[in-house]
Amino acid sequence: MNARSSRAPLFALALASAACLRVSEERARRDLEVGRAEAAFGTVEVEQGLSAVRRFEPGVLELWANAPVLHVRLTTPEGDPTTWSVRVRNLMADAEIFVDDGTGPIAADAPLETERRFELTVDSGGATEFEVRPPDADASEPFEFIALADVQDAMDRVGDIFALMNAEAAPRFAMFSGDITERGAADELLRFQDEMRVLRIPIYTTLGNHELGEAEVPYHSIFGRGSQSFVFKGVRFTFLDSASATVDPLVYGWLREWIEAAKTGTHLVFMHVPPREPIGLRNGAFSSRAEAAKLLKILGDGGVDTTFYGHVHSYYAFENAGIPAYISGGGGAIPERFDGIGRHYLVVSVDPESSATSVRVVRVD
Amino acid sequence: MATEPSIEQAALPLGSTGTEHGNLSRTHPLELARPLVLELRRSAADESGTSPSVSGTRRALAVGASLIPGVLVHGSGHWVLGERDTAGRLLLFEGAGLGALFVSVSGLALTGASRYFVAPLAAGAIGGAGLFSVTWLADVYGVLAPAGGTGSPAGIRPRLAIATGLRAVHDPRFPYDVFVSHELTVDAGPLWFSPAFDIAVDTANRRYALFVGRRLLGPTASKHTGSGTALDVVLGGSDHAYDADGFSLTTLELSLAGRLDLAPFARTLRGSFAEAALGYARHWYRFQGLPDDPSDALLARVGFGIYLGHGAPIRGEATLAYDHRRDTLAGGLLVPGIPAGYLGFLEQRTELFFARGIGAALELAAGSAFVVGAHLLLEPGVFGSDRTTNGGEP
Repeated sequence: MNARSSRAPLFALALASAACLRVSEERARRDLEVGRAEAAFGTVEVEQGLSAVRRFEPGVLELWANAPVLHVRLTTPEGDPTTWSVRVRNLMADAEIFVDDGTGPIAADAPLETERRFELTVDSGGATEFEVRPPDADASEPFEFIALADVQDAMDRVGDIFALMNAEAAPRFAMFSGDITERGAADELLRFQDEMRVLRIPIYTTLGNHELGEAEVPYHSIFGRGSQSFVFKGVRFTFLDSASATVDPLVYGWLREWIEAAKTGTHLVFMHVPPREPIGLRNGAFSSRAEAAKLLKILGDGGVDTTFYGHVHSYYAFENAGIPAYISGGGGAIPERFDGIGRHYLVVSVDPESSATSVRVVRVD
Repeated sequence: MATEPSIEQAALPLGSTGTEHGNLSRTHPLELARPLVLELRRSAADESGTSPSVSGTRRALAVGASLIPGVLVHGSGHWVLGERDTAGRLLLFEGAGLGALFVSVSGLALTGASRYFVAPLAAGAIGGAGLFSVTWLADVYGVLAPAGGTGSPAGIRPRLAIATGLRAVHDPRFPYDVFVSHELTVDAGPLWFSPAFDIAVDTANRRYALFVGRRLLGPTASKHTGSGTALDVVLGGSDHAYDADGFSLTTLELSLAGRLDLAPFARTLRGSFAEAALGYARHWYRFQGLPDDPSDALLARVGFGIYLGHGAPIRGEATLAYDHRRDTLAGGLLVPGIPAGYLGFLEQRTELFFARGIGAALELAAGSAFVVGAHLLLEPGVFGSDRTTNGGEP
């Protein structure tokens, strides 16, 4: 056995070890591929991966938005179709489409309040950019959104929650902190998107541990990134993929950039598994208490204003590292008994100027 | 007439005569294991009165049975070996473990891991899973171990025990790699004290700890019991400063920790033991420049171990354990898929004294980090005496 071959088992062991310790690394790397598609007939790129590319065929583009504002760049080679049929789903009800020619919003069909379909004339052999956004996306003024998590096996009853959400006039969108489904299978995820068709507002999501039940996690190609960040009305919203009770080192790098970008503004952070939870004896929290402290220190130093979590099927309001924190896992999964809560979601009011947030619990049952 | 070689001669490695290598500094590395081999062979040779009629074939079948179907039907190995009573006991305890696990997990599901019931139910689940694991490992051990077991407990504690060495840590989320580690244990009768520290050599990270125990049952430095069975109540305090990351984790904890020699349960289990601990910890996350966070932790540990060697110069033990805590360098296991975040870490620790009062320990821990520790063990009080007994006989 030569020296190289004798080192091979050690190398394999090191790789296996690294894989065990970075269970969410592959998902972080998949995040980098979200919002991109490339084929002989063109390429599409959604800035910062804020949308899943659900369909990319000659002359046809379909996106699932995971943020209020999308910047999309479509590049086509010489001679390919110059008119594309574009469908964008999970949009805010007042979203408009702007093409980079500066002519203002273009006409679009709205088969659902959260969906737009339009024809896009592209520069054959060049790049065409368009933007999807509500008119007030940049206006720094108070607004409301909904926070919820943990539907899991209660998909049959999620319509109750959506009906109540539709009755709320003010919330602009919902932030879902993971555990959409029981096992994360593609048919479950698509079922949830079907249920969402009744909604008047979009739901932006990250994944939870219950989206990890399949060998090949299909979440990213259906909903988008697990870790991402966007700005709406001057407030930065950040999702972190903590579905494996840890955050991958790659994501820590992104988080530092997002924190830096929001240093002087309001910053709200959402993830599924909380770094720590109020009931430490249960530890529905990170696998490592040291990592939990490390993340909270980063969030605290970074001036994060509020953190929202799921995973624990109850409601808790507490503080972590001085940051107001809420656990809201009331989407219908097996509830924590004797807590007097049951199914619920949160309506959150946020003022971008003062960074003040207030939370109202809406009980479903 | 040809004479049988002595055990000592037979144990020499690789056909050597024992004189061709000269002194220790020129000895083949494998010969360092010679005393252990001698001990194991001595044990194996002492068959009388234990398993008088077990053929090699039957033992091989028993080993296979302890694995399949033994991994599910504990005691299968002993049943094939002809140790039907022991097989029955192992199966009974396996059932008890599974029962506790089922009841506890059902309770967790029914209560939705309610804050009011989660601690006893989680402890029950860990205990049940631990009993399930221990009975399987005991079955495998019992059919593999030589008559008399792989070793015997010391039966008495040293007045002073020192462990000093290094811990290598691979944690992709933290910058440290190597810690200098030192632990001292002083036995003062039923009370014992154990200060310890780990200091990173490559970044600003250090942990100080002090554990104080009251031995309720079992050997002390002044009380020879001939057994390893022991029960301690342990009060501990520690501060782990992650200065490079700007926080500390301070812990105050109380636990009940015990070891049970399995020899009284079956002759085939001589030389093995089970361990368990249960307790509560109060944590304080202390952040530089930010408010502190208090938290709690359930402390629970289950393990199975074997003694190594029956007397001087070889004596030691090896333990495989599950520890539910997540505040150590190892963190908690990162399990792929749905059951993420609910487990502590696995640990294997082997201690071996290869001269009176001088030994070494190797520890491996796997959680959200991998930890490999190597320690020099010193028991100054026993440099000139042989503490080992043949304790644990049923």
